[in-house]
Amino acid sequence: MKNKNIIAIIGILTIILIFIFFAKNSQKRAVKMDKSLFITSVKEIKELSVIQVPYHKIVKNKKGLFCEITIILKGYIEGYINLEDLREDDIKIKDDIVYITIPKPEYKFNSNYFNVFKENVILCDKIKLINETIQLGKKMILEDAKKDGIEKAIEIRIKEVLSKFVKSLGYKDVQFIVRDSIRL
Amino acid sequence: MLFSCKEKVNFEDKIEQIKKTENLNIMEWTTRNVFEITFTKQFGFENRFAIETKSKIRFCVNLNELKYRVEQNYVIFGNLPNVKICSYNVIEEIQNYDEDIFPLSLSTERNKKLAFQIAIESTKIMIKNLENDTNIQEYSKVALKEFLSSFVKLFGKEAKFEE
Repeated sequence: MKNKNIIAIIGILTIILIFIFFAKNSQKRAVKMDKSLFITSVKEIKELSVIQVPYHKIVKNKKGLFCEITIILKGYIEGYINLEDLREDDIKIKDDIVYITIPKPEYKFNSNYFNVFKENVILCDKIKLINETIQLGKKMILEDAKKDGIEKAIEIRIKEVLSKFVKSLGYKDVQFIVRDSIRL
Repeated sequence: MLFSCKEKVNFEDKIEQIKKTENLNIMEWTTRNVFEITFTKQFGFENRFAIETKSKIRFCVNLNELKYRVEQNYVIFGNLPNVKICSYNVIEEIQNYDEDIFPLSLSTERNKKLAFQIAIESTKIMIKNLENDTNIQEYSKVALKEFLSSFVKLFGKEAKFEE
């Protein structure tokens, strides 16, 4: 978990540095990148995290008369896209306008806190029950986030972030197509 | 329908008309919160309640404050107005409610009622704070930009935003 967080922080810092670098460069001279360099730059972003929304949940898990627990799970949903598998034909450039086919947005729940609200674990393994309840809670939170429209929110944010990025490279506009099926 | 097909609509007339809109519904947002409320009883016994709330919030923008100028084919919008909360609805998620109560306590029902009241009032305060949330402001401005871009496109113009 710690490693993942470090990778995420490094990823975010890299994106910021790339933005600053290209924003400064585009102010100095409006020279556009050629397509292959452009694709390489976008792919370097790898996992682009665009949104973090806090989520909390009361999770009850009852296995029997003397084996039940309620935990309060807290954390945040992180929305992102993976740009690593972007291919050359996903990007088309015509008359100063960039057309990008972006992968379907993804999201995950990162838990940063939980506490046991109530327990009755006389007849079961408490640690096992807690771990199982956390997993159950994560699933419930992902379902909540989907119901709340997180996918649309991520898509809007991704378009905004990538638009700024492409425009900072000197292109006039950018159009997006969201790829919703897994490519073979 | 925004426009009549019979006569040619002037862009500036139309945008001035739209600027009169005080509450343009720009987006809906859902938040979920959990509250753990404990009441200490006599003899040291406690009544504890875990309450989850779900809130649906409608954010609006006042277009009276919209600033723009037209330069050739471009409509350049100045700093976009901040969004504000138009309405909200707090729902108690009863299916996720839980309690840890002292069975002989006479005030359990009163405590429970009070706990729900506290949870709802706290949720309302948290909702009010969302107006100052930079993520919410940024996210809703994307929605507003999309609206304005589509609007000016109807007149064959292109929107630009000063940031």
